[in-house]
Amino acid sequence: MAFSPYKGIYWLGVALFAALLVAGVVLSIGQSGHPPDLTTNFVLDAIDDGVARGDFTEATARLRMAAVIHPQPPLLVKLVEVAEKAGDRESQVFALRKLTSMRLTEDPQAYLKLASLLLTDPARTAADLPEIEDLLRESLGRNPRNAMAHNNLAVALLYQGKREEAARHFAEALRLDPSLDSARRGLEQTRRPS
Amino acid sequence: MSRAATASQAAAVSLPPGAALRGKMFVNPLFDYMLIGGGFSLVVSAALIARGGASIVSTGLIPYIVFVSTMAHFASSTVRLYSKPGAFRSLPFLTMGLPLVSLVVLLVAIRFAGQLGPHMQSLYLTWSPYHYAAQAYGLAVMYSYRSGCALSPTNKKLLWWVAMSPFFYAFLFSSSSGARWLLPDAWFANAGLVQPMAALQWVLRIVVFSSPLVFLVRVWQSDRSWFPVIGVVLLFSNGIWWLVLSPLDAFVWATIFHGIQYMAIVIIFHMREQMLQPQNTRGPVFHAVKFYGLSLVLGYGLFRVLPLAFTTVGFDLVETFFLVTAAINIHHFVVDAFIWRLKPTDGNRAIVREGSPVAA
Repeated sequence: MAFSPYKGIYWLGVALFAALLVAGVVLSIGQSGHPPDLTTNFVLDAIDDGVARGDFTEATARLRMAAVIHPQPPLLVKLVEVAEKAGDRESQVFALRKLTSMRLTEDPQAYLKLASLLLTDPARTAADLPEIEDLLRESLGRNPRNAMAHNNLAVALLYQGKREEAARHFAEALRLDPSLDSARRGLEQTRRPS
Repeated sequence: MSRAATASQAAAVSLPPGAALRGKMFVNPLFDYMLIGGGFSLVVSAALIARGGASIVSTGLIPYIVFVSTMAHFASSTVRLYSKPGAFRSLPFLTMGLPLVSLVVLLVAIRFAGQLGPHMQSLYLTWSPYHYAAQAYGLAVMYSYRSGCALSPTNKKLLWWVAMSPFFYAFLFSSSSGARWLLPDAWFANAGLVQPMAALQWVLRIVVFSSPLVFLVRVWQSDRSWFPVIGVVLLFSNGIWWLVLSPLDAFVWATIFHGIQYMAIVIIFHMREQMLQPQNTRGPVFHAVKFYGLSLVLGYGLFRVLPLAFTTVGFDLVETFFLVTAAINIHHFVVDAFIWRLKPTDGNRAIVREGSPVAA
């Protein structure tokens, strides 16, 4: 190899690679009996370990990183679940936004859940309402018989001053679920003079 | 393996029509059609479809299948690179510069996983279907050449488009790579595009599965020469992997089948290359077993040990596993683009031509 200007680089690469492999072998001794595995399974195993220990914050952080690198529906759905347990609203919104904005899911609950999180966000502004309205319409497009989606759409419409349409959706929510007090109160509100 | 195409220069047809249509085998029809041609994958795919996507082997067994096929296959291109006679001289950057460059890029990507990780992952996922399609094309050209079917330049171009059609499909319709990586999310949220994209999806499905047969007929009509059926099976199998198996969680199966196909052909090339060495004193089985054994060990080291190593310097398991996998894939794609080249002085050419019809 005396002919090559790459000789030094080559041996540096070999040395670095060998050092990493030795470190990895030392670590893997502690994992003897662990079978060769699929990459994503290994990652999910690590996350599940955190969930099993009840460390939802660590599991959420790992899932969030996994979902940032590889935004696949199973990882995003799992992130929504674990982040909910960790009380991490921002990670839930991140995962649901990915799922809905890229149409990676047809689950109406994903659209409803994101809209509900945004609607109840203390930092919500008037500028967020059209997005929330769109999400709820997407959810109802997939399942028009969800009383909560009608109720929340009515709330979003009411905040935007669209009282007549809001009243129709509050009424529909009540028709689907007569026990939904928030829809009853909302309907009454639309009948009051503004 | 697309560079194999460079070898498909005129070769006169001297095989009888039946043999030419079947194709000139490397080992025997069962081995070539089932393992290299992808026939085995068609049988497994049919079983998967018949079972509605339910697993046909126990879930616990799949990691081991992945280990002996997929992981070994990724490592085997590196083993081949370093065992190829004269590789250090003919490919100095690839053999000596690329390993360090790869490690540095990987390290930077892991350090800035939040920013660079998604792009590295998407690059690998976008490149994968292209790599598979290029392999199908290269093998189809190789069989065509061996079988005495001299493809005209036009037909070679056409074959490339036929082979690439599953890649175009994957590029457009993958959920986290290809077009979804390169275009903004808002583009996919556009409800007006849902129907045209669904129509395009159907058109591409028809093209992927009909074009290999159409190509066979066209070659016969234009060149009065039989494009070997194993070439059609190769193209068809790749279409099945990307189009039919996708909803059945087939990324795993596609990589397994691709790995089996690759291991079969790379071992044949390595074995024959070693047998042609003047100083060789071993038999073909020794070379095959040694090559596969080295690929298995390196595969385990790369996929299982290397990611753990990065955790010793403080990186988390999640980013290291994802990005090491992506880096191994990308390194494999780059190495593969060079080691299958068929320059006139390259040993690959002699192996492809071995036993093939010669110009009159």
